[in-house]
Amino acid sequence: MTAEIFTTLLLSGVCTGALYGLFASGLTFQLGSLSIANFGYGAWLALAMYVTYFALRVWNIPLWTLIIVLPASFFVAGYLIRNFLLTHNTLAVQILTTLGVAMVVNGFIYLVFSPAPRTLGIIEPLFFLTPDIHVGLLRLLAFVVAGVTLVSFQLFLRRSYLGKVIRAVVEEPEAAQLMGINSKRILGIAFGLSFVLIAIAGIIMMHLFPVTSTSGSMYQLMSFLIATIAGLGNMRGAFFAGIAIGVMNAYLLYFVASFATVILFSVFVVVLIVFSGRTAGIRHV
Amino acid sequence: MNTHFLSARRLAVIGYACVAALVLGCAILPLFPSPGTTYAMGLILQIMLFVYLAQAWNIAGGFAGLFSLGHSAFFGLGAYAYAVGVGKYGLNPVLCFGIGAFLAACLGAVTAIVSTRLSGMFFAMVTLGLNEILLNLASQMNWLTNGDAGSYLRKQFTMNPAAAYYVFLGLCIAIFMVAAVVRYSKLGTMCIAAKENEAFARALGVRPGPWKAGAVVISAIATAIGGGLFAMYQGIVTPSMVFTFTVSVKMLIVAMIGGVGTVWGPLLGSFLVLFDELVRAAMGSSFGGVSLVAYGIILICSALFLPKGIIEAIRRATLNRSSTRD
Repeated sequence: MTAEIFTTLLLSGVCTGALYGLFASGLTFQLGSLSIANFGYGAWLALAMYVTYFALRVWNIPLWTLIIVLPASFFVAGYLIRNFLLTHNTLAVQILTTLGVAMVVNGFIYLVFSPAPRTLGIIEPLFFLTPDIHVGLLRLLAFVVAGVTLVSFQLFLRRSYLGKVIRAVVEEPEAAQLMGINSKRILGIAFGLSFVLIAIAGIIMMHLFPVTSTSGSMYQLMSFLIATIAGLGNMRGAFFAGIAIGVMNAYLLYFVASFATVILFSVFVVVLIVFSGRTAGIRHV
Repeated sequence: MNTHFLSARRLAVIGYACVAALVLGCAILPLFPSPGTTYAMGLILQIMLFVYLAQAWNIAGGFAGLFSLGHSAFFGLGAYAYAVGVGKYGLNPVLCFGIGAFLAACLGAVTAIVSTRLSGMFFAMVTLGLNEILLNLASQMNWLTNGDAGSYLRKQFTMNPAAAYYVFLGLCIAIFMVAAVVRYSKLGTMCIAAKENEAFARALGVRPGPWKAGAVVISAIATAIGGGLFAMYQGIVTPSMVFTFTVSVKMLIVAMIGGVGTVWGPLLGSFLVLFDELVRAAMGSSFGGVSLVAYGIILICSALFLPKGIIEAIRRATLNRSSTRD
């Protein structure tokens, strides 16, 4: 292995990994801050990808319309799910409900889009740093979009009034309620915002990867993996953990392609067990 | 007015009578051969398989409170132990069941050790991850499992549907007995004590670890045996058929809709499998996703209105009746 290949793999891994970080950040936010175990996460991601494909290739909707409409409708979906379906708070009921929602979404995908694999089939233009070191332009764009989205979400949570209210409700729902904040509504909005992250991730991912009916569950496991390594609720951590996983995945795919997933998930299990202390209800936005 | 009609005792008698009638009905059904019966037997076989698996899940997930999302790992180990052992190495079938059960018990012990460090969702995620590891190993280790193409079994090692029907009927009866024994023995009592309030149980001098491990190992072995018989019935095992999230989810959903942590819950939840199969038979060809949507809506409704399962609703009804008796 030459230094050129090493660098190329590294660059590709970093860019793809940032995207992983973006699609895991919604789950991190849901799990860590809102204490909702969403086992339907992958289905929504797959739905966003299928909608992107059909909007661009079949319904001829321009990309900028999609970028406005899809996150907005995902926001509404998230708000409704949180406030009408996820009002009970035991783990078992959450899992049952979110699985039910995931099944409805998957069924919807089957009915409307058919489960056939879809790909936008874009041949990625390459950007050559030197004659031997290159990185795909779309990947580079994905890296930038993921970074900008996550930084602005973080800034929104820290600086804006709504963000501060969300953090207050996450910290102490009862106290926030006493201060005149409608906790239920705010939690709904926060859950809706995590769905916006899913929609954005879905739009970018459709431009890079093909989507099949099973890719949702794969991405969901990946998100769990990144979210746990990052520490739940830690969105900056999700970005860096995503990059770490992306780089690792790039090298694994190059050297031991067939066992990449096995190694990745072994790492996942070991990390979960070794850092079990960190999972005990860490809450910071 | 006869207010004694639905007292808890009466209900128990009626319930046992219903179960006995059900078992008897299933047992004599094959004596009336007709095309309709064949179809019904296939359907009942499917239901019995999932009732069996749901009860096996219930022993770990319900009684010991270890919410596993990766029970398909045990199921797959059992199935592959049989398919590879008999089909590839020509071992004695009984020995293969033993190997499958042993492997599943080892994995069960590992998950039990994990459960002492992680709880709730994180435990669920570890089980999910373990299952994913096995799925990928099974599809990549071509020399052992023949990869995604699957391991085939020659005809003499498979069961014909009629035999499978009775085997699964017997298996269902056996697993309900095991569940009842576990529930009303010291093991079940300790597990439920640890599940309801672990700190309090510890304060009373119970070490939850070994008891939970016992429940998980029993559950794992039962699931592996189910997997072996499934392989025997299907004649082919592929990674995506056994090591799939769908199998683990179906197990826990059947148990949860019926009533998790109760002996009769999985039986009550079985209507869901029936419903699923019927919807798929009726509309599957024209509307591919309809059964999934219907299934999902049932799940959401049951989570909203009956979070503790059907059995809880029945219990509540009897309690109301008996409290207004005088």
